[in-house]
Amino acid sequence: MDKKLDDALRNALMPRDEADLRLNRKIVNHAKEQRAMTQREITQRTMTAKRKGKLAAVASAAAAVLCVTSITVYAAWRYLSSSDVAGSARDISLAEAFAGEQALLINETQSCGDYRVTLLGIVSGEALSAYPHEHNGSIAGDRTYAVIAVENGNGMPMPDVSQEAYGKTELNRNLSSGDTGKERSVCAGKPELFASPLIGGYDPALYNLAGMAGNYTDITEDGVLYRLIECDNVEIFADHDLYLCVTEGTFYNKEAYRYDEVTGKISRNEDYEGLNALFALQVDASKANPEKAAEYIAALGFESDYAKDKLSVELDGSFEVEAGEGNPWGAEAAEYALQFVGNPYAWGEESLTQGTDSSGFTKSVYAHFGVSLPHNTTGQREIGTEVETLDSAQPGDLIFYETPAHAAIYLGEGMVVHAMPEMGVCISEADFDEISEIRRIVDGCED
Amino acid sequence: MTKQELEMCIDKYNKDIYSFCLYLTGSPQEADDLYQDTFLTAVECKEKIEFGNNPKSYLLSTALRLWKNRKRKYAWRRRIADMQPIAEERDADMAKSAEPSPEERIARQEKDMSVRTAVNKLPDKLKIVVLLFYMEDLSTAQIAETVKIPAGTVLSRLHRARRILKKELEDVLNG
Repeated sequence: MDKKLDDALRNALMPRDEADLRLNRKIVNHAKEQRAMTQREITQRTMTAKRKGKLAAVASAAAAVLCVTSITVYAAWRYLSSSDVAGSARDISLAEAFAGEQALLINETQSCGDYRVTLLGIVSGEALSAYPHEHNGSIAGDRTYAVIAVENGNGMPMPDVSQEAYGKTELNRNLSSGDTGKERSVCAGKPELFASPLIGGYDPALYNLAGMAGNYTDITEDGVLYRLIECDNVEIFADHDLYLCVTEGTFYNKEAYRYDEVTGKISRNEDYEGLNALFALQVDASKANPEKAAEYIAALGFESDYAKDKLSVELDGSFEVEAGEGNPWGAEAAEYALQFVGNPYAWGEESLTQGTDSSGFTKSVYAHFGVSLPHNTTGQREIGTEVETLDSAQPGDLIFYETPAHAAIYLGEGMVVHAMPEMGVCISEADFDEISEIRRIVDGCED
Repeated sequence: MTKQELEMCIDKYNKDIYSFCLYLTGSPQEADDLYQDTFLTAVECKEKIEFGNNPKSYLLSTALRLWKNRKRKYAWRRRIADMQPIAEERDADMAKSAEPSPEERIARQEKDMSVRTAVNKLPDKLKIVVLLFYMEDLSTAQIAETVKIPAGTVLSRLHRARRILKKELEDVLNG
């Protein structure tokens, strides 16, 4: 699907509109006139140039900032590879944090594809607070930093990143081969690499660097590419398995890893030919902060993809829950659930009146009818029988959504009732987000 | 930029720059203006280094800057004249890429149209990174430089755009 999307975009957006001859002629003539400017105009142009001079100053200030960032990385990895750096002039806060006791120095190397990838170290959360390090106005204590080193397995030096931005611009487009991704990485002079922390139990296709306010800086030194990765603090998820993945490409590569939705485990796809390094991060489980983690997940902004106008809507005055077949409690459960609309959302809770999350809501509604469901959507997805499409759904059916861990109760006529972060228990159109599964409760389920 | 350089750039990057302008502005008239201004601004540029190493990136970022400056002006004009669907009849060169039956060609053109419509509907911020990535084939690092945003932001915008497009185009892609 993602490959299809990439190909479709490349095909459809291939630049095939061009300026006509007349317009180009006009530009060339205009340029000639510009060159034949009178003295007065030249004076004017000098003034323009002066204004540009100011811009140049801003640009060089930006360049200076970039330089500082690079030094940070430099110090960080230098320290990690040799402990001599401590106390040196370059020893700024992040490097100190990496040198601190709480930083995890890993130095684990994996060889796969054509690369040798080493995870040098990772530091996050509290360990950073002793080393105040401003990041866009927020304190780095809410961030995770990791450093990896990537080498070519064949001993060839990695292309210098400072050259990369000026890589070849003449890219061969070959649409019929359907393999543009590969060509791109060859042509661009440097393979694009995607390195990101991943969280067990959360679909890596969604929860990765790109979604977690991530950023990275690359530097090349002695033919080794070092990448400093930063993103929102993952330490709060320490009660989950934490990973760091490294692949070729610009995005998370679904082919390179397997995600087990039931156990939440992420693993390398052994059949994948190419770079698919995966490091398990050993983080002290006591650092976990489930409450903060839940808030973070809710706030991650995948909600912004919801069709907001379909959320928290009013039911039509004539709406009635109709009884369906198959689920003995279905219509009653839907009817029962409706009375809690307006009550608050609370992550991890299951009180229909005081606050509940989405799976707590479905669980508590069905508990009223003596049906026992687990308090998590992964478990609830195992319950009862599958319903193929929304068209064949009946009131009382459980609807699960693409965005992990969201469940709702179907009301009929395309509507659901559910406990939604920030909105509380509300009625929404069932297709406010991509539906991943529909289940029908058929008997008492769990004991 | 010398006359030779200008001609070389027009020759080489005509399609890349014009298509980008067309998608940015949404109308051929405005695209013409923006395209012309982009090259004329480049002609004025005295510092060779700026465009010497990567003229395409330089031209794209110039187009982007000019367009942002005049977006308001363009915006009200666009409200008056409805946006023209882009590249309707310009698919002649698609035929070359071995499309045997006319039905398939039509299906493909329809698919392309839906993709373009979906891209055009994206918020500007997302649309720009999508165009630079898929149309102009820039790397994320080059996009970061062109748009002057951090590489991570490029990545997250692409990520968001792809999620939206994936949802929007689900039927088209699987059909």
